[in-house]
Amino acid sequence: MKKFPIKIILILGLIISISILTKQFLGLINFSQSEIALERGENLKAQQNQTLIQKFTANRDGLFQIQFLLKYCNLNKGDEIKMELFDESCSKKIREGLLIKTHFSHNEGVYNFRFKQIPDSNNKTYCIKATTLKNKENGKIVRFYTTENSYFKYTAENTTTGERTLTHLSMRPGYKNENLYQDFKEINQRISQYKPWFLKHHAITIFFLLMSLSSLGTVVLLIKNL
Amino acid sequence: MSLNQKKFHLIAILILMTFFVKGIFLTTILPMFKGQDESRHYNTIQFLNEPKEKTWEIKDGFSDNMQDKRDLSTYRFSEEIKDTAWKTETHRLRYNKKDTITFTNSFNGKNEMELKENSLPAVNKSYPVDVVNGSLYHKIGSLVEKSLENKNIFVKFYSIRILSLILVTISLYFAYLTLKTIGLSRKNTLIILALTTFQPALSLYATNINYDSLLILSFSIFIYGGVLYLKQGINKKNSTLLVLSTILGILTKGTGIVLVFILMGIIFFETFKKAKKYSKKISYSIIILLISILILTFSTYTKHLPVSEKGLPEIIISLDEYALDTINLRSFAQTSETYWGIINLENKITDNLKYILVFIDFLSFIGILIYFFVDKNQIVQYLPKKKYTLFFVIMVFALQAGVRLAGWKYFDQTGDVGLGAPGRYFLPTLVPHLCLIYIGIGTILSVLKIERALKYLLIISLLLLFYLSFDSILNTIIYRYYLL
Repeated sequence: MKKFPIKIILILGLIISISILTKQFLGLINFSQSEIALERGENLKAQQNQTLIQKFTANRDGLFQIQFLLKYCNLNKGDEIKMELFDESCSKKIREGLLIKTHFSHNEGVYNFRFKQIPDSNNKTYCIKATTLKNKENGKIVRFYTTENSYFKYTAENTTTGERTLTHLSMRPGYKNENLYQDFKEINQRISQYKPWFLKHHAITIFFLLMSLSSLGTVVLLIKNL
Repeated sequence: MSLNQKKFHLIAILILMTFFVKGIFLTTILPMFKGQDESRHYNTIQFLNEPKEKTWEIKDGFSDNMQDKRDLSTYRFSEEIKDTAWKTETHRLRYNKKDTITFTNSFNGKNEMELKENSLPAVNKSYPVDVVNGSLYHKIGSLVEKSLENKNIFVKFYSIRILSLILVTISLYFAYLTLKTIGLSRKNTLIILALTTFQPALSLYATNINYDSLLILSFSIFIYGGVLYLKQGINKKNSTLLVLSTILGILTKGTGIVLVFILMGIIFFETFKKAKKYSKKISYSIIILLISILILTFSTYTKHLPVSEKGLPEIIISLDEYALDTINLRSFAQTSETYWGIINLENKITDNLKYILVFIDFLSFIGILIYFFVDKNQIVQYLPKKKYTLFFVIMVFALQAGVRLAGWKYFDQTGDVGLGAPGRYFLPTLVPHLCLIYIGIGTILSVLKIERALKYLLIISLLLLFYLSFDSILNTIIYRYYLL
């Protein structure tokens, strides 16, 4: 009888683990406007079939997501919020999608609107429309936080009820670079900040490569010598 | 496939190197003061370096409730730490998982050059100072700090983090010696060593400025001394290791007292064993001396327990309330989560793992019970002898008892479980714990006559910890602090 190829299966398991890790990590790459802190100021209701409007100006190219801070939103239990991105005049639709959960949705109430990257977004003003398609019956009304910090010069409005705020939605645009090399360079730059000279820049790349290679080497050698 | 000695050593070196390099990378990606109580431990180190004569203005009368928990610059720390904490925007990372610091478009932070060129003095002006009871770890750290006093805070701070990492890497070397001594096969020695290396919590805490790293080393040396003693009987080498590691443990942290009790147990055992060789007078004198030391140690320790001023009924009520709040599946799962380093993000793969790990622990426990009661001929050769297993059980339970007693004291004083029993408290006995899981599961498989499956289970566990380890680095730490 032919021997069961257990080592090959284990190596395949290792390759699958690495693939999942890589896919997850690449999906998380995002460079937000880090000066923006998502703050909990007044909140703006968005009941079922109501629409909020908020304008903002992007500060670099590669816009691909916007994070929002919400008070009540339970996407797991049936709440659904449609997001649309328009040009400055709020007439030409550029992107659309649904608000989705992030790692910190449960604890912090941060939700994402992700869309296909806009390569030339720098200095352009956009208009976002958020429409609550479904708000769970007997549940709490979906509410978007606003912030008193004026990161953007435009204020938010509920176009259905006419309710306006003097503040803008608590939100943060996120960007990506043209290619992965530039993304990794920017991650390296961010990690390098406030580090001693021996843990900066090239040192980070070297230690990451050494860590990955020695970890992989360890696992492969142990499987091989099983 | 057989593993010759040369290959065995080379892979062992590779595993230790992996732990160290992974630690350096973790040291780098974890922002300043984000380690466990790191700002307090670092302030302790700076405080030890202050001149005895305070020539600067001191403001007294500060208290904890005058501090903003989110803002380290309001704490009673050195001027240098407060200024750095504020300028590196640590307040945007504390008790907050939705923001990062403000990044620039370069390799230097917004206030980095200012902090490097015009740092404030590393002296405490707000009293009473917020420090940990100075331990040997802090004294060693203060030597590193002193030798780098002309360097900027980033060089000093991260060098002390690397010191912690070196201490834990050395402890891993002692773990390797322990695994070799208890008679595991070369392959299983390497796999268990690798499991320790990829255990995410150990790697993470190894990079913190915290006395736990020296405590882990003292336990590791003690465990090696203990298994050597069990293998060779008492001799100069193992008694020196046992005594020195106990002293190291006591000088490091309160939990070190656990080693005193185990050492006393070993001395008692050895004395009784050899009592026949001595005259009755001498052996009685030794026994009386040991009992006196034990009573003295125990009475010193009871001062730290909520039993000194209470009657028996009150003690029972207090203990019962504490047990109700802490000995349950939820509490065990929480401890398990922080012990294995699963950071609670909404990751479907890791979210329920804590319960699986508690189940594996439970299964191993059953296996260990079987191991102790079945005929030794029925237990396969690859499992260590019972004396080593018993020693590991004692080590794990002694540390559990020590931590739980300290937790009970806190609960009795405040009515709150506080931190509970965070997993990091149990990391000093990680290697005995892994060995016990190996023995427990190995016994069950052996009873079921499928012992061959053990080596595959070990490798699958290794793959799982490899995944968890990189998941915590890439998809949790880097994501949380740099990509939000």
